[in-house]
Amino acid sequence: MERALDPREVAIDKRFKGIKYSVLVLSGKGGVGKSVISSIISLLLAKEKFKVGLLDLDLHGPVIPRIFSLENMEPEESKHGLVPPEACGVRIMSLAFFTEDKPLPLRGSSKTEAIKEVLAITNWGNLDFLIVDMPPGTGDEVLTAVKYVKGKKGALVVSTPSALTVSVTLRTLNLLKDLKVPIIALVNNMAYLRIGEEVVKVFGNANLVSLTREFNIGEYVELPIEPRINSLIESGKVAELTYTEIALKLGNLIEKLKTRALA
Amino acid sequence: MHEWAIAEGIVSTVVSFSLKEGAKKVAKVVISVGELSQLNLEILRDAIKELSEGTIMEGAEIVFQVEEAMFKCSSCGFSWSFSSVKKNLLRMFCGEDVEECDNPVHYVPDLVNVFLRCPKCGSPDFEISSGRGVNIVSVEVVK
Repeated sequence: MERALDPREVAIDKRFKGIKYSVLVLSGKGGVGKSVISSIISLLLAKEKFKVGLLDLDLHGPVIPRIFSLENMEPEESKHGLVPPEACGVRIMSLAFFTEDKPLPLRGSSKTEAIKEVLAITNWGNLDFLIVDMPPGTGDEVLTAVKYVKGKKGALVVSTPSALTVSVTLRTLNLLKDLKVPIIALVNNMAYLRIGEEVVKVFGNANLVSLTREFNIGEYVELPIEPRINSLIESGKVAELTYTEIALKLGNLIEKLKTRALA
Repeated sequence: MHEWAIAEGIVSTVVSFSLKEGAKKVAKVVISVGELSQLNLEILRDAIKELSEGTIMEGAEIVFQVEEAMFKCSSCGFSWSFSSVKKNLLRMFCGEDVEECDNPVHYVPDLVNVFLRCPKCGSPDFEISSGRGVNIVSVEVVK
């Protein structure tokens, strides 16, 4: 043997054999709404009776357990790995189950190891969809996640209309192109706010449509700032996120995901 | 304890590697086990044996090499062993005077940075210099 063998590599391969399609939800910058969008997509798919997993890989800002009011839960031990807790039909895994609110001060190689470990130990069972709330940026953890999320997959890139965010989004799109990850959709989050009859572009009006042409992205979605989302999460009414304007706007995207998973 | 899940990975890896090598049987497997993973080696050995049944790995000699877990502080350069601070970790999760118990570092060793600090300067910025996880060091096969 030329080098030691890492048993996690084969273990990860086996885990993904039971998953039909993975959606990597990425953004160049943090705080653009990636986790909320990942959650709503998961809920919409679960509502249609698909088997859905939601993996929170945002190592430094994991909020998925909070969105689903699962902060006090822990994955259950089983003979074949850790079984993710379930809420509203979505199986959820996050390092926040282990770290609670404590910071996770990891350097590059440790992030890679932690992600590999989570992918190797999580027993998802069979899934139609695994939605992966990715770490922001284009660093080690993103490269690791893209490499080890095996099988059929596509990326959903979340931006905002701010010119600053768009410049970073461009980097993410270029990285995905270089890594040959199909880009399913570009989501322009926080694109507008409705105040009565008026539509206000709070964060700017950068042209994201041109990016969809440049990168040949089939689906472009503009999502509003919807204050109701925050109050639903804070009051623990996560299932009601599927009745928001954002959920309605994600309808076409859900149909596309179904087509890709079943293809 | 997640020894069974680790054993599954080990058996699948060894069998897959050995078949690619054209082996008829696996004679011996040497496995390095990082101390930080806090694995129970008896359970791990039994799980490997049971999961190997009916494969070319059945009956293979299993040798564990336990690798001492060491840390090095990125702030002050101090080095220390996991064994010197293990009780502090177990106390957080299981109270006083236990030799082993379920804790997050057992599942994801890199989470050690969340719970421990450099004993000299108190920094959480330290690296695991050895003894992190599980690796298959060598596989002896019969062709």
